[in-house]
Amino acid sequence: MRRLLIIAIAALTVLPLASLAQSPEQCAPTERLGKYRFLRQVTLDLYGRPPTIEEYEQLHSGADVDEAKVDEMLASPEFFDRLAAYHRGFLWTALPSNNDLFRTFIEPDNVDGVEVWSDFDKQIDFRGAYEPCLNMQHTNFDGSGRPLPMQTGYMGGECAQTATGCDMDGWVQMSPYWNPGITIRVCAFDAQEFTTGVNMNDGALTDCSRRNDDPGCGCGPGLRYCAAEGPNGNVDEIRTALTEEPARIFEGIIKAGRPYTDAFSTSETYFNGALRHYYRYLQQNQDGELNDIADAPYTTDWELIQRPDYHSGILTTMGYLLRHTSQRARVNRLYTAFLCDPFVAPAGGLPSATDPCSQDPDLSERCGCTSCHTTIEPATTYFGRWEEGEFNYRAELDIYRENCATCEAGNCPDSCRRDYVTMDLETTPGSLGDEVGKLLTVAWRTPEEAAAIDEGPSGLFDEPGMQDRLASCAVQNFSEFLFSRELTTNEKGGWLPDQVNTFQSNGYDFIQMAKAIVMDPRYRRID
Amino acid sequence: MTPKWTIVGVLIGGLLVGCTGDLNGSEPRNPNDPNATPETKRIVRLSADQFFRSLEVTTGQTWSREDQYAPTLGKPDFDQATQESQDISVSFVKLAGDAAREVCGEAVDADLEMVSTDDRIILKHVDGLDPEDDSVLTNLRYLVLRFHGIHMTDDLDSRLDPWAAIMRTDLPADQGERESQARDRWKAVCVGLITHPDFLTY
Repeated sequence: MRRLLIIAIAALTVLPLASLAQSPEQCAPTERLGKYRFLRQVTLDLYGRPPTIEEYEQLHSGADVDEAKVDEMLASPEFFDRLAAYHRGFLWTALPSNNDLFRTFIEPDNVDGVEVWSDFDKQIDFRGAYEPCLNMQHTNFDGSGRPLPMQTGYMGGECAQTATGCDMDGWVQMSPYWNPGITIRVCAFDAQEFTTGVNMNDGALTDCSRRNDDPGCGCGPGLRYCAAEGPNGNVDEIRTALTEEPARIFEGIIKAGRPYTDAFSTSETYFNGALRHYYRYLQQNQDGELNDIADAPYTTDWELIQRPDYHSGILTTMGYLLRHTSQRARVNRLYTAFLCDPFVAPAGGLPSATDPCSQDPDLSERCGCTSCHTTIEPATTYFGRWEEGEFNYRAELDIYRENCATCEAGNCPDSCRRDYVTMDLETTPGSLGDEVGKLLTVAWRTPEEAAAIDEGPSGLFDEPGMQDRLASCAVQNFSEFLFSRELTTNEKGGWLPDQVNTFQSNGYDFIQMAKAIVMDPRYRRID
Repeated sequence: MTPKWTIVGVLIGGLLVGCTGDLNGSEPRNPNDPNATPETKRIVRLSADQFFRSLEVTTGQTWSREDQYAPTLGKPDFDQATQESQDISVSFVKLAGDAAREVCGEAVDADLEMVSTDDRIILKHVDGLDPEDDSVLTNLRYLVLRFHGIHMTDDLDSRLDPWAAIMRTDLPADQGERESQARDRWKAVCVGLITHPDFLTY
C-alpha cells in the first residue's frame, strides 16, 4: 500500500501538467465545448451522471449532440428522476419526527437473542410494565381468538417494579403487510387482528384503528394499523414517499405536457401503495386528510390520485405543509422559490421596537414590517383553511367567533389563541379595533381579500401578473441550474423575457423550455 | 509535511492551475468583477450525488461511505441544511481522494479476476500486465474518454504522456517485478483520473 501511495503522489504531481495538456478549454474564457465534453455536461445536468463509455462511443461516427439526442434525453426516466431532485431543492421537503407523523409503531426488541416486535407505548397497557413479550410461541387464546396471558405474576425486567407482576404473552409468527415475503415474530397482544376492542374501564367499544390504550386492540388485520421501525420496517419507506409526493406532481404535470402552472393548482396528486396505506391507516391526525382513500396493494406503483377539489397542487401536500408549518412560512417559500421574489428587510433597517409605529398589530401596516407583510399577510389568507403545523383542511372553520372576541386577555381558550384575534394581541388600548374575534388570516383584510380563504392557495395565481411571475421564475431557475450561475442583468433584460415569452406561448411546456436552454449557444460555452 | 497533506496540497494546486491558467495568451478574467461575468456555462465541481454516480459509472464500484460523507460533500437534508454546496474545499478534495482510492482498488482487483477483457471496466484493452506493452496506451486513451470525456484518436497523442509516465517511469528491470507493480500503477492512474479537475468539475 505504501508503494501505491508513492505512485499516487507521483501521479498527482503530474496532474497540473495533465490538466494543461488535456483540457485547455477549461481555462480559456468562453470556449465552445467539443461534442464529447458537451455530452458529459448535458448528461451530468439532465441525468445527474456522466455518460457511459457506450454513450461516448456513439459519437465516434461523427454525430454531434443534436436536437434529436436532447429530445431523447428529455423524455428519459433518468431526466424525470433528476427533475424530481431539482424540484426538491426548491420545496425543501423534510418531515417532522416519527411521533408527529405516525399513529402507532411497532419496533423490534431483542428477547433472549430473538427479534420480537411490539408497540413500546402499549407495553404497559398490555402487560403492566414496559416489557416486551416472552420468547415463546403464544398458544393461549379464548374462544373468540383473543390472546390470554401465557404467564401471570411475571416479575422479570421492569415487571419487578410492579406490585403483582406482569401478564405476559408470547409471540406469534406472521407476514407483515409491508413485506408479505418475510415472516416476523410479533407479541401476541400486539398482533391481535380485531378492529374493535372493549375498553376495560368503561366497557365502551374501542375503534382499534385509532390511537388507544385498550389492551383488547392490537395492530389489526395484518398489522395494518401499525407502522414499523427498524431496518426491516416501513417507516423510512413511507417518509421517503411523503417527501417525494410533491416532486411527483411536478413530474406528472411535466411528463404529460400539461402547463407547468398546473403543479400549483391541480387537485390531483400521486401516491404509491405505501402512501395509500399511510393516509388510510397510519397518519397521526386520525381524522385527517385522505383517510378515506381506497385500499390498494402495498406494492402498488405511483399512480394518479384525485384529491378533493379544494387542493392546490404541491402547495397542499403533506410534505409542503408540514415542512413549512406557519401560513407565513408557506407564503415565504412559495414567493422565494417559485416566484423568485424573496422577502428582505428594507435597506434602511427596521425602526426601534419602541417606536409608536411599531405597535400596530397589523403587520402589513407596522413600520419596518410593512415592506414584506403588505404582500405576505393577504397571501396567507389563501392558506387560511389549512391548519398551521398540520395537514388538515378545515372547511367549517368560522371566520368570526364570539367567544374569542369576548374572552379576557390571558384567559382565552387555546383554539382562540391559536387561530383568532384575541385581546392577547392588543398592543395599545383600542389597537385591535373591530378585528377582535376574527380569524387571524382574514383579520385586517378587506372583504375582497378575506374572500380568498375559500379559493385556497391556487387562487393566488388568479391574481393579475402572478402566472407571468411564475413563468419567469421557472425559466430563471432552470437557466441558472443549467448555467451554474445567476443570470446577468443583461440576460434578465433581454434573453430571459424572450425565453419566458416562448415558454408561455408554448403553453408553459417545461420540456420545450428545458430544450431551448440546452440548445442555446451560451450553454455550450464555458468560462 | 506528511504524505496525506502532500496529496491535499498537490490536489489544490492542481485545481487552481486548472482553473486560472492563461492558456491562450490573453489576460485572465477577474473572477470578482460582476461586469465580467461571461454569459456561458460556469464550471463547477460535481455535486455530492453527481460525484457518487460518476464513481459508479466510471469504475463500476460504489463508495462505501457515501451516506456518511454526503453532508460533508455538500448534500442538503432540507432540514438543517437547505442549500447544495459545490465549493471546492479541503474536505472535498480529501474525501474525493479517499473515495478514489477505495473504488479504484476494488475496480482493478475485480478486473484482474475476470478472464475475458470484454467484461472488464478499467483494464479493458490490456491482456497482460507488461507496462511496456503497446496496449497500455490504447487502454489509457480508453480511460481518458471514460473518465473525462476527452477523445484521442492516436496512441501517440501527447496528452497521454502524463498518464503513460505513471505506468512506465522507473520500471524495474525484472519482468516479473514490473508486472507485479503494474496492478498498483493502474490503480494510481485510476486515482489520478478521478482526482483530476476534468473529472471533479464540469
